[in-house]
Amino acid sequence: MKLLKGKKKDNDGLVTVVDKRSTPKKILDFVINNALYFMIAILVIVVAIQYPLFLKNAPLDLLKRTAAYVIMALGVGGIIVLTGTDLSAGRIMGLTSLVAASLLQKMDAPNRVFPEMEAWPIIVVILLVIVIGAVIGAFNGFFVAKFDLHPFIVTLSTQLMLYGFMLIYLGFGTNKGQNIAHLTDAYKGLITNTVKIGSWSIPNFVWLSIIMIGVMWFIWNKTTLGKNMYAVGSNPEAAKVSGVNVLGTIVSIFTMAGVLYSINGFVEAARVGGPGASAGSNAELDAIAACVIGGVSFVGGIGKISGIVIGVILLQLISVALQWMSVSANLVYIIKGAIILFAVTLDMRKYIAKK
Amino acid sequence: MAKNDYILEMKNVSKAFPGVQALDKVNLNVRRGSVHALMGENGAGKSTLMKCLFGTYSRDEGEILIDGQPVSFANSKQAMENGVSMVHQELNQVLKRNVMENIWLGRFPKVLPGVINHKKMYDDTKALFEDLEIDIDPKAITSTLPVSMRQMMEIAKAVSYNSKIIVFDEPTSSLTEAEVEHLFKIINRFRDQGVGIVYISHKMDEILRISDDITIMRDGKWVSTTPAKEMTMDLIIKQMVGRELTNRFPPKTNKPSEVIMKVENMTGMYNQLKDVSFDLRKGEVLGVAGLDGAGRTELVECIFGYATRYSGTITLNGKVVKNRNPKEAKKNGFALLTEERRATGIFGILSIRQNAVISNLKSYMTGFWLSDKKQKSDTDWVIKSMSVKTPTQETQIRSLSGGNQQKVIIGRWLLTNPEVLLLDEPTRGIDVGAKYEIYQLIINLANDNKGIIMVSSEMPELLGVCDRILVMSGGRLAGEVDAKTATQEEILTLAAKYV
Repeated sequence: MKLLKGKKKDNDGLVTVVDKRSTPKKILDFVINNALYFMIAILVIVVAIQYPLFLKNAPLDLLKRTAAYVIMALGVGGIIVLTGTDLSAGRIMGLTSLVAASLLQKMDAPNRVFPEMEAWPIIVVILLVIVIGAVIGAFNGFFVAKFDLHPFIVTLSTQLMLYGFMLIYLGFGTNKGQNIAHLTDAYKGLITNTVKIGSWSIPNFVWLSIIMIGVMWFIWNKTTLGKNMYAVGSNPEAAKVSGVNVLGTIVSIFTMAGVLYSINGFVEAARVGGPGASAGSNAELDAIAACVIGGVSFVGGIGKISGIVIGVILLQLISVALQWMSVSANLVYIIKGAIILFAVTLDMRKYIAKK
Repeated sequence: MAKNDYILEMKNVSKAFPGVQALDKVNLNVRRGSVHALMGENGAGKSTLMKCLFGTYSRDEGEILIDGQPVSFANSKQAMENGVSMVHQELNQVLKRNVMENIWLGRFPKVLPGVINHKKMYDDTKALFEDLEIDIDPKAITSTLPVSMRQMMEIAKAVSYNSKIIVFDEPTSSLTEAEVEHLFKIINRFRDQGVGIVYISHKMDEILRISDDITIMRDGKWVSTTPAKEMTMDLIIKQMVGRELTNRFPPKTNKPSEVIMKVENMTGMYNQLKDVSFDLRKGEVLGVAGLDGAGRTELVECIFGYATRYSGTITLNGKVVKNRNPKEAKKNGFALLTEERRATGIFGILSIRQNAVISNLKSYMTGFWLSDKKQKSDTDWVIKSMSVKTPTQETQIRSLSGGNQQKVIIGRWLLTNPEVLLLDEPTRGIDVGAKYEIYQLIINLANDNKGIIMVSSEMPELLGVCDRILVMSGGRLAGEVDAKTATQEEILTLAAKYV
């Protein structure tokens, strides 16, 4: 009786269920599962036909925009793998960008946060900013892990507190709540000076982002922390029984995220030139959206660095392409929202076990 | 006997929780190179005792000696590092990651501090599996493996700690016969190497076969420790229950009459179910037997519309019913008691009342709101007629024992007044005394002319409670036997037909 149709049972006792879907259904499923990529390809083709210059000029623009946002997404990604979310990411970036800018202002700037103080050595500012990010991240992580609070509510609270700190900080010295502008040339140069490769002038912050992607890939895939992160996100009980330090893992991932936001903040201040009260506002939502589009699942335990990078690229590509097509900014929001919803729907489709 | 003959000694261990003395001066002495069975009904304190050993609970009094040295572990990690490991009954695995990461979770081999050595992890896993003759790909994603393989994986993990003491908690509940043999081979090998093994199980024939000593617990107290050779099944039951259980099954008083439901050529869309046809009579208890993965659960889920059908018809009282989803099936007079009570049966934090009326809310509508009075009286009926032991209707259902939870869920379905009841493992995780009550309930329902399908992996209960038994194998119907005349061997032969 070995002529079993429809299913087969091999020697290991593994039951393999043969796919009973019809061929058109299979093709449809394939298209739906990869619909995002089809859509992006169509978008690029349509824009390129209408505006032939798009293919020549858009890639560098896209590269810079991706680099500017990807570091934060790398941080949020880890927290989403832990089934969490981080609403304070944007404000952590905002606060650290203010701190960086205020310590690296020119002496002759009309408004100064610390009127009598010379600009600090850049390396000291970088370290300070990273410590600030780490402390806030650890604070978030501690409340999440120790008191079993949902990250949504913890980071919502820190987000509010951080905004208050930002406003107070902007009122220091002679600044009177204005944007912190007139940054030192050394600082701006460090971030925005370019290296020419072919016909492309690639700014330094792009290289930094590429390095950060590499570092985070290594941490996620090759270290104990990374493996523990996946394990805790997928099944915290199993991780605990296996002797994983669950609290330590959660706090570490939040701390690492805080560090990444602060690095992004340091870049952001010099990149935009004069950060103010709106610095980083809502940036976390774009970062979360990018992660989700890239397949980091809110179910937990699932996600790849490559996915996050692709997610950021796709999200920025939409903005760039729509800009080229002169779509009104109001409409861009609607389209972006629709695409995120679409992406999450497709993502969940893969994890729903069919009965 | 010399003192260091014992590898593990637990002396006068006590543990109290608010309102309950969970352990009362319990002793457990495991000899080096022996299999020590630990038995008792659910709630007897077996798990609590093991949790005290592993430091999950701190004991109130008593001492634990390993190799004659007093120990006190703070957590399971410390226990494992000191050569005490455990195969848990409930598989606690990181399903989305691969096999080797699960095995070495919490103690990954490293090249540098914090940096994992993937090659060593793979090689070690491979060597471990080869040593135990387990055929699993270390890189397979855990969720793609069948439960039995995941169970073997857990066993390999416990073994990989080079333990002196290994605790097996119901290790065979999801294993096939061949895999049980494999497990026993592994256990025997470790016994010969001088490992002390604690074996917790409800399956008496297994216990009598594999163990050297048997310790029985009841109500948190130590009852006896006896060499297995001197024990019989009746003696064990007597000591576990604390009274003589003369009959394990109630008298069969139901009389099957005319056909109530017909299932023809049922094939599942996303599961292995293939071309199953049978009929069910009024007042009949129809058993469904088969090995793990034979498609028993899938059969009842397809009938109930919980799993999608690819083809097949269901006829109820001569009329074709569609049962496209559970809601429709309920309306048509079907009821399904699911296999995994905690996952798909109870609403743990909700009250008994909310659990009892959830399937029947429509009938409590008076105008625009639900009548509290009717809900209360119906819940009273459930508690009384099922003899549920609970202080109030408002009690959270998760605080009841498994048997009482099961009675509430059966009551929930009876409120919908079904004609066909599909019971998937109705006595799983329920202790001996409560099982009898559930059997009695099933037979009473058959007496009321309901048609009952009972899926079970315990053959004695199928033979004791059912009228006919369908045997499934590899997703197909392998045959049908008369419960009065059939033997376990007969059923097993059929169950292996399409494997």
